[in-house]
Amino acid sequence: MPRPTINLRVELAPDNEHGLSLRNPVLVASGTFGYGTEYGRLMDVHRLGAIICKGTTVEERDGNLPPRTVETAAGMLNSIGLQNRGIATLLKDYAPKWARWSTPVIVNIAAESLHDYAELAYQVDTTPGIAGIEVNISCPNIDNGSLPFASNPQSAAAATRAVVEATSLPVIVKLSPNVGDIAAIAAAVEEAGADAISLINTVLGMAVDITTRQPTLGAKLGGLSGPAIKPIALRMVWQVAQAVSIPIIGIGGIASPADAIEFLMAGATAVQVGSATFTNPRAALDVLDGLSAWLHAEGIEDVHEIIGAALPPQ
Amino acid sequence: MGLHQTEDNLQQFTATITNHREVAHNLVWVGLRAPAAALREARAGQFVFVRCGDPASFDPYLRRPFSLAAFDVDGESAALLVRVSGRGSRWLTERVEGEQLDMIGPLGNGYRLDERSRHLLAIVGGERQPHLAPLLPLLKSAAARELSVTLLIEAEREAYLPPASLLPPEVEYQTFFREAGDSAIAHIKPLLGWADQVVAAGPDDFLAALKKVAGAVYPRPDIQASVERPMACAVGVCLGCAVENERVGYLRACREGPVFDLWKMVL
Repeated sequence: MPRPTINLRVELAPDNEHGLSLRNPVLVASGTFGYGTEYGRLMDVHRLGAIICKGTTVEERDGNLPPRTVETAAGMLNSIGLQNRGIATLLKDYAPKWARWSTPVIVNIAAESLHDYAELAYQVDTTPGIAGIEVNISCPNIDNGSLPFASNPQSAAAATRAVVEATSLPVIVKLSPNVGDIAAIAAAVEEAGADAISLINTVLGMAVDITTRQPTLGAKLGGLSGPAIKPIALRMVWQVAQAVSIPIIGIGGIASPADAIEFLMAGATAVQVGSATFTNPRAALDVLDGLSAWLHAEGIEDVHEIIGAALPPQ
Repeated sequence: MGLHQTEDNLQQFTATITNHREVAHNLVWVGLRAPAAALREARAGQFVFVRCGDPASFDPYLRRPFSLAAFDVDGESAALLVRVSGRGSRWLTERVEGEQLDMIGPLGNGYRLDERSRHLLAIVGGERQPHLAPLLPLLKSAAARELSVTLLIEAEREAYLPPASLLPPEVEYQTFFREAGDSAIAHIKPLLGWADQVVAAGPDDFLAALKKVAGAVYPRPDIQASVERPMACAVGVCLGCAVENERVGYLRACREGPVFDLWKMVL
């Protein structure tokens, strides 16, 4: 259990009018925790720093052809295809519940045009029960050659700006690892007004079924997650932490307290636990309890003392 | 959809292996003792989601779903019937009596036995080895209710077949072998008029073949079918175990299934 003498509270949107102050730095990642209600029988969701809900689009989406998941070495590939019931249903069915929770809920939004990003941000902004927005910019930009928004600084900044201008809520932009210069993209997103950056989204990969001699996943390509990608995620957090001054939320293969501590030391102010929850429904709480115990054992009174400890001296 | 939504009974618990025996080639019966009442409200066709690996390792990464092949009304004893098909199932079948398993359950929607049914037809198939586990508790309760039960089962060859000793003695057990060029579905037509209710389990191509043959019969019988899907989360959040429904799009095998109305499935 967290000791009362240790400060775990973190602020993820210090320059935003509402702020995004969390009682601890352990969140659960989009797409691995549904709408916050599904794991309620297996763990205490009210101890989490925050919940990031399944990605939502303006309209309902059917999702991709199965198979949609395949296990890999210390990880998994997925190609769900953003199956969801659309923003209006999400806000009607879940936001009233979230408004009564002590754990903040952050809505993850995804779009294929700047217009849709703005539309989503506006709709979320005017609904009570939502503490912030996480923007998935890994979707193809259908107005510009279908390259993902996340793939270059200009389009990443454009998506960020579209959201920031349509909402007063804190805006977290979630970066893709499938890029060349992650630091340049992070800097452009910061410049465009993001309150925080989360990274990484899944790493593009694939599997082949040797029986059928075809790609295993229905969508052929999928996103790799799990402990297999942790070193990539950690490297990118460390690079981005040297390029921006807004808070960073580390994501990618975090399954143990030591994993989370590594991300904090690499420059993350908070972490998200993702697919590890599938294996251990209590994974995020185990990370939280283990982090508290470690800080206590080290005689550290404030989690901020370790944030960025592994960064080079400025 | 949602014949029996049961998330309220869901829990994570540790079960102890009480017995462990190979009942056919590649097929292992794993008897379990669970904490009191963990599975008290389990129903035929439901499954548990089992950690199949060293708890300190992240490889294999994901849990594995296994249908409950047996469970007692006291909720303390249960069994899995495990086909060895990969790293997870192999790890599980290498455990010995007294070892503990970390599991979540009971999960999913099970079969529903209509109170008016007198004649139950069960049909099971598989790539090599039939997936009898989800049907076993249903056949047991049907026999206890004195229904007349016929089970058609197909396997690649006899060595893969679950032994008749796993079934209540009242069940008429008809076996078919693919290596002999035979299939269970080829023999189903005359029985479809006899049965009040049909229950099935198998991979998608088997269920598609069943749907095609049964669809030519009038009136179409009620057929509940249990699907096979790999699962990442098993609690409805990852949307990986998609099964297409002709009217509402993709449903989740772990929540709306694994037992579905065959006529509404797109296979």
